[in-house]
Amino acid sequence: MIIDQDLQIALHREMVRARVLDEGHMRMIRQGRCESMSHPATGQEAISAGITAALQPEDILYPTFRGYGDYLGRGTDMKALVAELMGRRGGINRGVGGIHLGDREHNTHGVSGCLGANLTMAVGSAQAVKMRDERRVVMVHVGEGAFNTPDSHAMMNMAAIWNVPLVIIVTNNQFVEFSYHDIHFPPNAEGIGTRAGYYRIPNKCLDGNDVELVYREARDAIEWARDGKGPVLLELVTCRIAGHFDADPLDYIDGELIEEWKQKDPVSRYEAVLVRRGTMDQDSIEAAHRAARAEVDEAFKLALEDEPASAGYLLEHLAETGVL
Amino acid sequence: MAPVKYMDALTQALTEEMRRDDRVFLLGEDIRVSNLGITAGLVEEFGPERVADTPIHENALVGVAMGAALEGMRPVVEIMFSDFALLAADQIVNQVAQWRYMTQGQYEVPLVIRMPTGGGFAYGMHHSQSTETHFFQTPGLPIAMPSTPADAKGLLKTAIRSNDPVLFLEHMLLCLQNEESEVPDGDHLVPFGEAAVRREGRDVTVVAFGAMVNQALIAADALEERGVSVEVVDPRTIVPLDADTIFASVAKTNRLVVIEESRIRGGLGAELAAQAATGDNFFLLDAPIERVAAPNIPVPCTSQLEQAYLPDAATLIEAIDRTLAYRGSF
Repeated sequence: MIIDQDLQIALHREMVRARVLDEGHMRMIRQGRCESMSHPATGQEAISAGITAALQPEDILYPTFRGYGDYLGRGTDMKALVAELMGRRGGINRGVGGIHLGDREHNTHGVSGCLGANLTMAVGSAQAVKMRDERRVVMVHVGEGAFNTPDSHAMMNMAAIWNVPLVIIVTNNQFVEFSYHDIHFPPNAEGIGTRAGYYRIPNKCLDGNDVELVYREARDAIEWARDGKGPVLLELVTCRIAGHFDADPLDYIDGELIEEWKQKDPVSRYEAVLVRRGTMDQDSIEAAHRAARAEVDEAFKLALEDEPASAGYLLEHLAETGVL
Repeated sequence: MAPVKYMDALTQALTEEMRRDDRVFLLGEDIRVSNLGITAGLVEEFGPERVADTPIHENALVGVAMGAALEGMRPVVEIMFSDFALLAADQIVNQVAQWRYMTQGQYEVPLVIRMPTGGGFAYGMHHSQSTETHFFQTPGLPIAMPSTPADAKGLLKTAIRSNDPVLFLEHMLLCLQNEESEVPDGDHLVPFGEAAVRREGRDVTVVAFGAMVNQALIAADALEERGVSVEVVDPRTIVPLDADTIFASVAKTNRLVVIEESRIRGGLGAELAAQAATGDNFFLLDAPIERVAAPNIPVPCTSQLEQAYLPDAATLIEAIDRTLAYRGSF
C-alpha cells in the first residue's frame, strides 16, 4: 500500500531537514562558532522521520541523543532547537540543557547524557499512561550500543510484566561510539532486538534506510501498543555515515563499509522512489533541499544574533523553592 | 495529638497521602510484604498497581518512578536499604535531581525516594551505612532525615506534596523502636529547611539528625547532672539546611559539636565547620569545633566492632567535654 502523497513529501522533507541541521551544526563547531558537541545521525534519517511521523502529538517520545530528527519530526521549532545547540537564551532550555534536549510542549521528554538512562523512564511514563487509562503510547529510541546497558533488560522485563504501551526502537547503526559493533555482541548472535524474545515482546529486524517501511512498521507497532497489547520492539538496521561526535578521529572506520552504505543512502534512495512514482521531480527535490538549507541557515543566523545564555539565571530552576 | 510509633507515623503519612491524591503510588522491592513493615498491608486498600512490587534493580526502579513523575504521577519509591541507593546513583544524581534544571523548569520531578538507613543490627557493610552524605553534594536533591514520629509523618507528607524530588531516610533503629510520642492529628506538615531545637541550652550547641538526635538527648541529660547545659538542634533536612537556626544557637553558646552517623570525611560536620569558619560566623566560636562521626572505614559486620564504629552518646560526651575544657586565647 502506497502512503498518502503529502506524507511522502513530509517524510522526505523531515529527512532532509535532519541532515541539513546535522551538517550546519558540524560546520558551526568546526568554525569555532558553536561550543559543546554534536553527534550526527548522517545516514540514519529515515528512522527519525519514519518513527516520528507515526506518532500522534499526545504520544510520548524519549528520543535518541544522536541527531535531531526525532525532535524536528515531533514539531520542535527549528529556531529554538538551534538556539539551544548554540547556547543561546532563545533555546528551548535557555541554553542550559544544550544537547540534553527536552521539549515538553511536544511530549519529547528529553535525553540523558548517560546512555540508557531513558529506557526505564519510558516504562514509568507508559505505566503512568496506563494507570490513567489514557490511549497514549510511549516510544523510546536507543542505539544498539546503549541497548547493551543493563537497563535495557530491566525495561523489557518491567514493560512485559506490567504490559505497558511501549514501543522500543533500536537503531542498529553498525558502530558503538568509537568501534565497529561486532566486538560488542556475541559472534553468533542473531540480531540484537531478538533479545526481546525472552520477554515475549514481539520484535522485528527491518531495513532502517527504507523510510516508508520504517513509518508503516512504527505505525503498526504504535497501534499494537495503543490497543493494550503491550510492548513491542523494532530493530532498524542502518549505518552511521559520520563519526561518533564532531572530534572523532575516524581512524577505526572501514572505508569500504561506508562506501557500501553510501550506496544505500536513505535520502537519495527515497528521492529515486518519489521521482519514479511522480510524487516529486528533480526541481521539487532541489527546492526541498534549498528550503531546508535556508531554514537551517536562518536559524543559525538568528542564534548567532541572540544573546548567549546568561549567568543571571545560572541558579534558576534548580528547585521549586529556588536555591537548595 | 495522639501517641504514635515512628514506623506507624510513616505508614500513616503514606496512607493519608494515597487517599488524598490518586497520583501517589508506591513501588519497591517486596513492599507488599514489606521488610520493616512500613508498607505492609497497603496493597489491600490500594491494590497492586498503586502498591507495586518490582524486580530487584534499584537503578531501574528509580528510573521507572522518574518516568512516571515526568508524566505527572507522584511516585514514592522504596529502596530497601540506603546502601542500595548507590546502585541507583545514576538515576538519583544525574537524572532525577537534574531534570528540572536541565529542562529549565519545563519538567518537575515530584518523586520521593524513601530508604531505611543506618546501623545497629550487625548487618555489615552493605546493609548499615548512612549514605546521605554520598548524596549531600547533589544539586537539586532535598534530603530529609526525621528523628521523631511527628517529623516522620510531617516531613514525609511534605515530601510527597513537593514538586521536587526528595531523598527520605528513615533510620531502622527508629523504625523498630516501640516508643511512642505525640503526633499532631490531621494534615500535619513539617516544612523543609526549618531546624527544630530539641532541647534548649546555654553552654554548647550540638547539631544532630536522624538517630543521632536520641544520642544527643541522652548526652544532654547526662551532662545536665554535671551542670552543663546542652542545646540540641535537629536540622531535620540537611538539604536545604537551616544554617540560620544552627548559627543563632552557636551565637548563644559559642561552642559547636556536630554528631552524625555517616563517615567523618566530607559530612555535615565538615560542611558546618566550613560555614563556622566563614563570614560573620568566624567570630562566634570560643573553642574548636568538634565533629563526632563514623571513621572512614566500611561498617564491620559484628556487633562489637559495629558499636566501636558508630558514634553514640558516650563519644559525644567526650567531644563536648573537650570543647568545654578548651582554654585557648583569641
